[in-house]
Amino acid sequence: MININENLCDFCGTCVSVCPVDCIELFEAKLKINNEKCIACNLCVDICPLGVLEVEDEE
Amino acid sequence: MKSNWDVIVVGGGPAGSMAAWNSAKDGASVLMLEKDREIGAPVRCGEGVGEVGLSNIVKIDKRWIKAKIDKMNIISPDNTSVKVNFKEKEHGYILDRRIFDNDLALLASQAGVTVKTKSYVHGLTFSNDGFVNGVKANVLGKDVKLNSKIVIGADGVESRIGRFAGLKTAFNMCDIGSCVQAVVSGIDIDPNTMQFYVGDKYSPGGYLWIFPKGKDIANIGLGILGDRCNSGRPKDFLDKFLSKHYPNSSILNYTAGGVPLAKTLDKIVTDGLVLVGDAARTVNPLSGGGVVSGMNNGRLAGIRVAEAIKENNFSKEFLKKYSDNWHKADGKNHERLYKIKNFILSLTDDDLNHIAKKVSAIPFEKRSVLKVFKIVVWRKPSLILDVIKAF
Repeated sequence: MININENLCDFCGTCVSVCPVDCIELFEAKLKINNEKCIACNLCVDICPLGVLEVEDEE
Repeated sequence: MKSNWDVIVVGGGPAGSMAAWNSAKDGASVLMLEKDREIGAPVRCGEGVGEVGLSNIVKIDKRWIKAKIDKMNIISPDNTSVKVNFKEKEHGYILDRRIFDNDLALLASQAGVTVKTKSYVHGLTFSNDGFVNGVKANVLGKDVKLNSKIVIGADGVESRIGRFAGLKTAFNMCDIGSCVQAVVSGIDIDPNTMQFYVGDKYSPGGYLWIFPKGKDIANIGLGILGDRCNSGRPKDFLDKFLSKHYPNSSILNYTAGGVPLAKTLDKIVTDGLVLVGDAARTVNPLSGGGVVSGMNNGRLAGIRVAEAIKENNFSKEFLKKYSDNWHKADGKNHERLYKIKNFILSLTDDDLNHIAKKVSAIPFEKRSVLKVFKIVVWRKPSLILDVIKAF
């Protein structure tokens, strides 16, 4: 699971551009991650210029 | 709004507007959809362009220009400052993209293009034989299906339109810059000089830029190469730089964004669809500048799309001529710049300091961009020819 800190997000779409499975959707001030499609590669976490995305530890 | 169009352009940036404008020139019906509520905002761009390149494509309006640039200053990791005069053909502008993008969309609309904002395309539709024949969109809050003969994907670095049609547009981490930029005021700078800070301490795998928009205001930003993002967040690097160099400044605006630093995608057309601009990766992979090249690319796409509408042929074989024309115009040069970029990525901060010292030894009036890059690649002579052809 990836956590989105919407307060920090600039909705720039950089995460969308690196997602290999196209599971991130962005429209105006909304960012959605489809967790069913997500393969937890975390590239979006790495590329985000602002540190908006965070990996949530799965117990 | 009518449902049937000859051409639907997804994205209202400079590449989209140029593609739409040129598609409409022979009377095709063209719809351009922008997802944001305003064309030109938010600005996610350093706003630097070459004067010659821009004037070859549109008549330049003074309202677009915040500053004229005739030299650059490169600062190495050990603080060696190297000023280089631009030749006249290298002069540039820092634009106001908000006004600029708006005017380009206006020019397109005056040529007959219908423009809609707050219009988000979330899918494509296909004919039985697999041709893209329309879009699924949310236009001003309403879900609609719109039919087209050709879709032009000008949807920027995200490039989901290409993916919907099966083109592989997701970036490798080594081909994209993770960038932040602030509009900073209350600073004392030369309004005609663009400044570049290079080296890992400023921006791993990229550079930090100061692009003046006047004598006391500038775009200050930086990009870190995707596969070097483990060295830290771009935002943290920028905040550190600003607090050290401009502690008493004001920040009028912060933006983030991804910049393609890649060669143009191999496949930018398919049946019923073409990609343009950032979505096709038409950005200069060395500088990260993509406004003029995106516009030129959009123009070439629009010209071919207009021919396709006239000939009633929307196949990838017919549309591919656009891709070939682009390769001849700028694409081939971008392959050279990409090679040069990859070599520069192999340089250490010590190498950059050494290069700065060597350039400093040349008298100011004898320095040129070409000479700088010849020195940059001196360890790899096989690149000299690429440098000469590229600059």
